[in-house]
Amino acid sequence: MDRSPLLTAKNLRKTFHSPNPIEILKGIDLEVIRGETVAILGRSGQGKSTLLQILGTLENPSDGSLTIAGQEVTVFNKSRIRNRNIAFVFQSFHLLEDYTALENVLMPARIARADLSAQSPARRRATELLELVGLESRAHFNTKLLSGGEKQRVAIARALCNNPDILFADEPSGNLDKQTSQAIHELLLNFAKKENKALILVTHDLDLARLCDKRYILEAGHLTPAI
Amino acid sequence: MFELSVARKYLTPRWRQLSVSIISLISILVIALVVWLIVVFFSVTYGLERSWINKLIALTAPVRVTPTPAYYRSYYYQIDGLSSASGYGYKSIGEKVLAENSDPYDPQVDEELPKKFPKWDRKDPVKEAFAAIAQFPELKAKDFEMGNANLQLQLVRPAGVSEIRQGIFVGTFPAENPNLTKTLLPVTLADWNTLLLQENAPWISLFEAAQVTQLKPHEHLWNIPHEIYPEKGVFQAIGLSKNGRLTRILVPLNASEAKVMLQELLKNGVEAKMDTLQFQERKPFWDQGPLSPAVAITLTGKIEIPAALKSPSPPRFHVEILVQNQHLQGDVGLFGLQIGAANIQTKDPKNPPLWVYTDAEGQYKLPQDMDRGEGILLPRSYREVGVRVGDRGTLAYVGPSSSSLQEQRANIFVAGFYDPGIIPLGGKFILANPELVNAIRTLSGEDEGSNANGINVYFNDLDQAPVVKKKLEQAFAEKGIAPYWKVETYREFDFTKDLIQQLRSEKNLFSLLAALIIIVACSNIISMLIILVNDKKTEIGILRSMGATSGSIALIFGMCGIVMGVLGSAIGILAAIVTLKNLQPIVGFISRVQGYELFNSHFYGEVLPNELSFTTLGAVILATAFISLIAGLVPAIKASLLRPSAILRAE
Repeated sequence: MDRSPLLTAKNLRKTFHSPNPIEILKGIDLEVIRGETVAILGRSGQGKSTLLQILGTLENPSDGSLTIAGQEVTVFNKSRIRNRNIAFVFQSFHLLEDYTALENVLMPARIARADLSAQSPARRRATELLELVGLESRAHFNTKLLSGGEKQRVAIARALCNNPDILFADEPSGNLDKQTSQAIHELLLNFAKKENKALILVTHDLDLARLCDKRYILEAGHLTPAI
Repeated sequence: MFELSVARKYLTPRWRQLSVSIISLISILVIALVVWLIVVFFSVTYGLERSWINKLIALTAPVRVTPTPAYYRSYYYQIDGLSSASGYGYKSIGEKVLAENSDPYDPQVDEELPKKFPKWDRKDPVKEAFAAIAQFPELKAKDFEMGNANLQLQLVRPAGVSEIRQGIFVGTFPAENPNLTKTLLPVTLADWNTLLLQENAPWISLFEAAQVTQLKPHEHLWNIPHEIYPEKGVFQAIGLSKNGRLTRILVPLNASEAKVMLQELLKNGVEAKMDTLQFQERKPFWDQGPLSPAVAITLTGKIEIPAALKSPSPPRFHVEILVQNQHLQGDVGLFGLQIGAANIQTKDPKNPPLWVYTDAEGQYKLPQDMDRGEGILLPRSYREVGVRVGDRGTLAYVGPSSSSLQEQRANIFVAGFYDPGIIPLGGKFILANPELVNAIRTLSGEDEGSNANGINVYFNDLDQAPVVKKKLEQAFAEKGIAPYWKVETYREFDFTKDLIQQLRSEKNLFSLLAALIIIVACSNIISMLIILVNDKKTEIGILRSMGATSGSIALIFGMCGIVMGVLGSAIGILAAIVTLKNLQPIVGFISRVQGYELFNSHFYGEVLPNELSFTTLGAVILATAFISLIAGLVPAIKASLLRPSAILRAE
């Protein structure tokens, strides 16, 4: 099985300048390989989400380098990497309102300008993904009408639409009850294992962290492996 | 396309984004309103300009060739004054065309030329100019002349005789001008009825040129002539009497009207009584007894009598009219009647009528009449003061001779009217046959420096005028006669230049204003899009996290701007087309509401002209699209610069 590194971060630093300069990340090094699931733990305000956003190219580091799926992240390839190589699952779902569940799932393919006609592979995959998350019956529902758990499942299906290499999840079950949370965790972990992709998640949930291959604690701007 | 699908979603009105929906609706409506205004205004001014220019050209020509001072100083022109072959008189261009010799001077017969007399360059500028124009088959040339005279018209009417006197310009009737139709006003029934009333009315030719189908009384009353009394019949009628003596019997057209009429009469204190009027063997009976022939039987109501000409001189008609559901028929004269409807022929009549007509070849003719003299064409303002076709008068023109001022008079009659549009001298410019104009101009001796004589050059496509001018100048230069001629397009004529420049500058001014209003209207789009961007911040962040580039985000909002602009202008253009199609009723309505004419027909014509200008349409569509794109750009750039991490973190 291919165990090549999918993500390599070297000496990532982040300083926020307002109102006073605070260095929140002080040289983070991280390597994540295919099929690996990584949990980042830490107290609130330690910069977990910032780190995740830097790793997910949504935020620029003040210093350091980042390589994803063999490509060094630059201003010019960021959008393409976001569309093709990585995907996000947020705590507050971030579905597009005024769109149906299926339209939400299809959006990454639409941005990639894939063929979306009735029999197209993209549409087939979207339908399969909705089946996978158990929401095929909700495909044409407006997302406003779905429950929290359903919304998060749609968000996961959407994240998987363009078959990304790395899935970033920020407190994916933070807003959900325990039972629903477990179903979501299963979905995320299964994705990494079955498809040989990487999962990087930020969580307070120790149970979820225990299910991951590796755990790190972010404290005082440094990432240290946890047992 | 991803950007388009998102933009479409944003532009679809929704309750949840009510404020955005309302603002976008208002923006679109404002743009539509502005576009409507601009398109309607430009279409009307464009139509007006076209119609004014057409009327102008109808009297002159799109291009005119006039002699320069060099022509009048030349041997070619001057020599006629010293040649016995020319009768020692200068020749007009028309006469020069017909002259046998370019040089009529005969040293054997004529006196010796003065020492400083110009030399002949062996050229015949007039004939060569016509030949040069003839090289181009699409051009038609005809000489014109202009002079001034005093017009005196006598209006003979039933109410009395009145007279009009005015100093006027006389120009050559441009029979060859293909645009003439656009300015000629049709002969009306009013003209016709006036003609019929005249002493020595030419009945035979009048009825030859028109087929009468209906007669009508001058008022709503007609004394039924004995000739059409029915054989028998009973009619509801009202007898009017004075001191107990029957004076008149009124027969309403419809029996049902009799009662109302009686009540009206009694209310006004008239001695009246309703009874039945009977006929037996064409003899009327009233109150059992026969009716005295001195008592008139008068038909009342809206009387229209179907009629056919029986004999023209004196005119008699076969009429048939339904009175109280009974037929009255027979032959009657014109007494108490006038023509109600007739088909007046102006195309190739058998005998020349008294009005402008076209001959078998479609050429316009101004009639001449042995008895009445020369037919002339007057501007429409004369018709408005009561002048009618057939009115007679004289043209008096004065010429200086060595010992006295000599006045000559030509008999004339009105043969029609034309619409001069807004030419400053339009109200004073009459048209006559070339011979008369030539006589007037020759006598008054006006020549050098004036544009009283020249060549009209006709062709169909007005826009070609500058090209034709260039072609002619070149052809004249090749023939070496360029110094003798000035070529002008209708935009350069001394009496049109100012007007056309004024029209143009007003158009430019309004174009500038239009551009400003479009900018103001489209600027609404900016505020609407800024609200939209704020509303959709999270979505922008989500789309960015899924890989949408900042360019795509900018394009989404830019498209929203363009779609609004284009939609607004499309609605505006549609509304403008509907307005222009119904312009006349709309103008009529506004005129009624404000109580006076919205557009004075003297300046704008009977029907407000309009012509959809495709240049304006194209310019408006492009301008709105462009300005809305620019307006959309500011919010679009703002949207594209939003950092996804900041948006998503804030959530």
